[in-house]
Amino acid sequence: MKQKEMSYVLKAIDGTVIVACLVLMFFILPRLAGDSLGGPQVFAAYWPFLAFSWIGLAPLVFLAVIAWGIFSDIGRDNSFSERNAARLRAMSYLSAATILVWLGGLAYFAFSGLSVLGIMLAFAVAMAIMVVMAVVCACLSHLTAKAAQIKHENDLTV
Amino acid sequence: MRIVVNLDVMLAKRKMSLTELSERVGVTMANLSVLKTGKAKAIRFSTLAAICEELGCQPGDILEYSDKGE
Repeated sequence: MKQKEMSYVLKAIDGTVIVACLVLMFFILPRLAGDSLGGPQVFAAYWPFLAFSWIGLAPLVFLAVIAWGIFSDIGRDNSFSERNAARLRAMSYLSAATILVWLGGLAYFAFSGLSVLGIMLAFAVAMAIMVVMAVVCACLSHLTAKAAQIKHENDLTV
Repeated sequence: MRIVVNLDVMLAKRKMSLTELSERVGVTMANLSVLKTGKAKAIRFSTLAAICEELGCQPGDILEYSDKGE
């Protein structure tokens, strides 16, 4: 697969993730809290649940938006740059922030007596994935910064 | 950079343009401009040898060490 094609494929996946997150945040979760759990009148934690969902998913949307820039640079054959290293660093921080938000949310629901084992387990798996994501992004950021440095020197070798 | 590139001086002495040198040596104009303006981080021996051959000079005529700091 050529770099341009790869860039388009990655962007298509990234765009789908952004749209899926937004649909989840503003359509599926409010409906779930409203219809299945009884809405604000019945479900006591309606607004905390929605706020937690939005705050918890927002970093993922930002993460996908930042990744879009990296995918654009892949298409331009400019993968190894300081800017991409900074983007990966930001993605690592956002992943870490997501973990903290989810942990806080889970603690709140657990202490409020609203915890459901299935949901807790699902969040635990998702958090484990985000931990791996944070570590991998931090590592890739370091590697990209080093590669950008080597590329810069190579570009200035006559 | 403490190494000063005197390529422009040698080109003037030989009455040769950068474009002509680029064509003779087989190095792109962009790369020779990088070398001429002192932005280059390194130069390959093969490039240096080709430039010296075309200009009929020694590496020391093109490169000079300066102790005036960065």
